[in-house]
Amino acid sequence: MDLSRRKLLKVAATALLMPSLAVQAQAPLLFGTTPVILDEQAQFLERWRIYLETLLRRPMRFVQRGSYREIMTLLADAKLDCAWLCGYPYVQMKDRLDLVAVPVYAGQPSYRSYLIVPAEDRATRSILDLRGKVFAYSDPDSNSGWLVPQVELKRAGEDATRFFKKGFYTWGHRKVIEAVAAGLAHGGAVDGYIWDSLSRLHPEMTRATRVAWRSSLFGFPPIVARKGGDELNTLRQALLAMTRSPPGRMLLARLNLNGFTIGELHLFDSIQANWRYLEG
Amino acid sequence: MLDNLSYRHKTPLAMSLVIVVTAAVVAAALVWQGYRQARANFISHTQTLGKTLARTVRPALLHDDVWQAYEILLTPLENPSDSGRVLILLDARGQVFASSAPRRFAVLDDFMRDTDDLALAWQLRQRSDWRQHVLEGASGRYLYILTPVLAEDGTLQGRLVQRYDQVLFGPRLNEVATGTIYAALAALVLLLPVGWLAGKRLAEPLSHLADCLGRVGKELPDTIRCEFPHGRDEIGQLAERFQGMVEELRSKQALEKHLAHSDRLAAIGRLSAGIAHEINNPLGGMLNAISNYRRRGGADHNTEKTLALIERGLQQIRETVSALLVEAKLESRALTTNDLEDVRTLIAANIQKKFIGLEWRNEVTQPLPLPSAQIRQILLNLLLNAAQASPEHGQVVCAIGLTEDGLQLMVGNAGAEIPERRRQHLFEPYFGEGEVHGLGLWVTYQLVDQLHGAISVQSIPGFTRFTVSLPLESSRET
Repeated sequence: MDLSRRKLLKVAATALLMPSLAVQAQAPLLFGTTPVILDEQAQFLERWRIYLETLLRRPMRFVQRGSYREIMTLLADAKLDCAWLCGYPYVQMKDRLDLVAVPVYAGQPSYRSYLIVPAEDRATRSILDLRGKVFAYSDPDSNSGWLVPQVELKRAGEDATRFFKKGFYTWGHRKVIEAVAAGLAHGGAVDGYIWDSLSRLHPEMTRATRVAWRSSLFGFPPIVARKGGDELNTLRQALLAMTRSPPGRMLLARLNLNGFTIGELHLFDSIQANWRYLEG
Repeated sequence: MLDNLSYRHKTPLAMSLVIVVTAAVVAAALVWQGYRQARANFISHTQTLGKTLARTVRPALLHDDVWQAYEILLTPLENPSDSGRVLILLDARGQVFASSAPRRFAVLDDFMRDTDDLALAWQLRQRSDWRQHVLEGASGRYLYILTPVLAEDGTLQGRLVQRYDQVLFGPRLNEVATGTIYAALAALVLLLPVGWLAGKRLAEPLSHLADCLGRVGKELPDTIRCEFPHGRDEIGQLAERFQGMVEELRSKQALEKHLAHSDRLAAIGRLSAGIAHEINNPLGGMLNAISNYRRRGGADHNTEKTLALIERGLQQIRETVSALLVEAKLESRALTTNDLEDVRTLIAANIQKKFIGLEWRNEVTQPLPLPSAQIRQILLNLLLNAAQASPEHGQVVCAIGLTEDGLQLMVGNAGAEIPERRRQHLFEPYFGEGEVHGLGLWVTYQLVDQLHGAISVQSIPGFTRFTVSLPLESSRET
């Protein structure tokens, strides 16, 4: 009896361990994420990881860092296989990266930058109304959270370093919203997709802010892979397939996205142009 | 009004008042102490928090990271919109770097200039003071804790200001006060009845004494019977004095009664002696006249019969009068046992007539320096009285002995109790119905009085005893 019981346990243990053992046989795919999405939801990332592992048939791991710059460095140093980046770092590192897929949001692979102010500020219509105020940027490598307001100021002939009384980074779009809602900053530049998603998921957070200005469309933060990586196609197929299965659609709903598309390089031309404008 | 209130109420009231006041004072002290303690704990806690936060925000301040500083400042606050607790991080110039209430203390506001608290502004201007400070704002509304944020080399990078509304202590004070008041009320519920009872017990002997004192003068001292707890405290002393006073009143009254009785007897003695003398002289003359008339003879039968009648009447008057007039016969010889035994013989006929048993106890064996005739008469009178009072087949006791006071004669009988009315005039001449005269005890009293002795009577139903004590010295004096 003791023997049969041990045997049973052994079989059960093997059955349980088998799939993960098979998956773990390979080195995991390292996927960097940045605050272009609401990447603080650990439960969601875990589900998405399991979903992707099943499709990729290899283990994968999400890697999160405090700033875009750190993810960019990791990618450049080949310490990451792929990442969900902002369009701005993508255009900066374009020659070293392959475009895997571009998310589709509100029917198109693009988004806007929002200028937000505290809800009680009914007057502000443009960033130029915020002279001498405290301004919150999300990240110095963010298109919507830094490049767009910088370019707007430069176009108006303002020196961005002196225009505001003080500017600071919150290292995340969500935190820009919090800073403006709390009154810590009188204005902030934020990813329009993040603000919209939050106003759907957590309206109490965005309620204290008001969108004072919306930019033109830019290419949505894309998923990119290190050039020469072997997983480009598999990962792209896995992402594109998400709309076709209920679990995939559920995950997309959590992301507030319609799906993924292959995406075209010219989507990011406007960002590149802005970058050049600011540099030049 | 309070002066008229009885100590029976005043003492318990005072006790209760003392208990209530004590409870109130103790409760107030406890509340104050609890409040001070809670406040001290709070300040100590916030000081520690200030030191921790000052160290934590240093990198943010150094790297000009407003958001990080803001997030750190928010961490100890349960609710960022709580206006009672505000944390403000100032840069080296005294401008707001970040605050937990950015709308009130906005980034880059000049805090030193904006604050309406002079003490706080003065303290903030001290550039070289790197200690932590606890300041009570000038308005008294806020409590400030100032903690310097220092760089590694000790230079001042900024300051952390923690501002707490003193209103925050309100609920704590309420909590302490409520707890203490409940405890005090519980203590009062236990102590008040005890205090009331103790006060009542304390005042009880005093009011009892007052009641007893109030009876003096209204009632006879004999009827005033008051019991007090024994003790040497003031009440005990008062009670003792009171009892002494009542006792003295009682003996004074007894003495007065006794004196009045003696005076009355003496007055009667003088009166009867006077009357006897006044009567004896004409009486002697009248008897002599009858005697002379007879001696001359010639009286016819009728005259002789009348004379005899008159003589018998006069003789009876003489006997009565001489019985009233008791005179000491100083020539009488000393008393011997035979005298006493004679009396026993003399009384034997009266005793036997009523079949009375006589218990005779004579302890006198030697002659005594007392007049024998008077003693014989005293004893005989008492025995005759006893025999008369005793029922048939009764018992009469006669005890003759010597005490340190002298000779003592005791004669008892089993007769009826002497009524109180009669007892008050027992030793006075008595002329009641059915008796020729009741001079036996009068004579006895006179004899005893002349011998400086004392006679007393005890009478209860079924037993009456006369006691005569006669000092031996008296006979030597006379």
